[in-house]
Amino acid sequence: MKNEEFYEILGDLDAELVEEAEKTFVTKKSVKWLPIAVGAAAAVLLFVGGFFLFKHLGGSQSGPTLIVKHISPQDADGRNASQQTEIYRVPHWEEMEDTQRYSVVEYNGTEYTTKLILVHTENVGVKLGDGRVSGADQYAEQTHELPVAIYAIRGIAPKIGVCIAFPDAPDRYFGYVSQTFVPKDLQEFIDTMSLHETLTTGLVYMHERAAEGQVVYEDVPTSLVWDILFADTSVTCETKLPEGKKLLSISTNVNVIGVHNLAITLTEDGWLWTNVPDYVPKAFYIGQECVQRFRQEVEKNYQGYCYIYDFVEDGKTGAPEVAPEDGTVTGETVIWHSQVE
Amino acid sequence: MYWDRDEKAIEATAEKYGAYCHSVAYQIVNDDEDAAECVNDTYLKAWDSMPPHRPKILRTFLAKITRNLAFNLYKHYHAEKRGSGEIPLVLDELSEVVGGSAAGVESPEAAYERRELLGQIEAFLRELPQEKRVMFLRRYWYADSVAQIAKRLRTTPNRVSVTLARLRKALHERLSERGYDL
Repeated sequence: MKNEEFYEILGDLDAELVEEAEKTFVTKKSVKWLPIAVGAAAAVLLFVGGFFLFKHLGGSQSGPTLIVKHISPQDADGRNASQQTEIYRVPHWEEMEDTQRYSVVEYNGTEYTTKLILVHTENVGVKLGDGRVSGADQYAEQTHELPVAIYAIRGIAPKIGVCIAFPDAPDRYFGYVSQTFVPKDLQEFIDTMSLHETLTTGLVYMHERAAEGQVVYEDVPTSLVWDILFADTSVTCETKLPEGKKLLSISTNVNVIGVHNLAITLTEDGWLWTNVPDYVPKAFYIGQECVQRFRQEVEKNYQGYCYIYDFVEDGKTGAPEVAPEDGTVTGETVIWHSQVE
Repeated sequence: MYWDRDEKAIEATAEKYGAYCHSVAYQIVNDDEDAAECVNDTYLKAWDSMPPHRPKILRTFLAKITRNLAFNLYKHYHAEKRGSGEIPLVLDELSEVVGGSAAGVESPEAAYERRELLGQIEAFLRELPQEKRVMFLRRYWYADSVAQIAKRLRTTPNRVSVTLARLRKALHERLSERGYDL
């Protein structure tokens, strides 16, 4: 079979797979600007227009009146919207530091991939052993490997994530996360990442109310997640995505391992699923009663907003990827400036 | 509107999906005018095929038409030694999955085998973690560059490159195990 024929066959792949690839997007720098944008945009709220707009549009909404917020990066930090479109050049091997070259670590039979974070020294645990990092020189089409020391991250089970120090920078520790870990139940999911200490949540996005615009609730405390959604930790974990309609998503962070703005999503048929700490879906059946109770608590007790984005980043409007909300950042996002021309 | 044969359907489609289809075509033909031509032809094809065809996801249905049209245009130009962009690289990489034996004459049996092969590829993709699946689709369906995929998934181009190489190898092994003579 010729490669052209194979390429054409791939064109007939199931529409859902193609659609998933179009919808999956991780906003790269929203960590830096979105909270500022939200704060600055508050100055330009269209209270009057928003009120009348949503009196008109929101006839079926179940919560209090929404407030319209215009979100604009120019208003926030003076950046031109055109700067959202950056052209990347893949750097040559000799132009990169080790941390850029080696994106995959193998240790004890598990593959970990980089999360592009520096782990603070105080969060570095005991040395676990030795492993190997690997990376590809795309121009020479060669794969390189390097032996490295593997360390634990405090509060994080090694089967979830580890950190390494490269020989040329022994005092800097970089976080890597397993792409394959699946807990047996919600309790193990919580324990392996010490979520009681490390979990923070942010905005709540009401997908069900998309007809009204992007409906977002701010200031919903993480304690509500614990009290309602994580109340029964014995529920087992499934790796297949639930098919029920998505009701809402909660922005979720575990900063110590570089998890920023992933999601906990609730479906109408009673499932909670999440892509924390990576992209492997983990689904827990918590029941329709829990899902509806969480939704009702949010809509009853917190102010809802309709976000109107005055810009578009790569065809997306920001949700559900948002920034850490509480400022307790224990990891540092590494931005590879050398990749940007 | 397509089912009602409402002529505003094309206008509405262009407004809603035009930019998306253009980006799909541009990744393949690497030229704005050619991409626009593919997108315009997409609307006509969609008009001709609905009804009776009822797509599961309209956006993806349109993108598939665009992709086919753009790839046909690419092949036409390629025969004339024109064209650049990602497609030559994508095809080169796919040579690692398939061996390059001569294509057979299209027959009912061949069409059946093609559907079977497609099913095997889909099963392979569904078993992958979402991130790897998206990487594969972005590269070999949308013809995104490695750098574009890295930016989309907030990772390094290096890691995307390593992952894609492993996926090609794994897919080749999977299909060989299933008896496909690639």
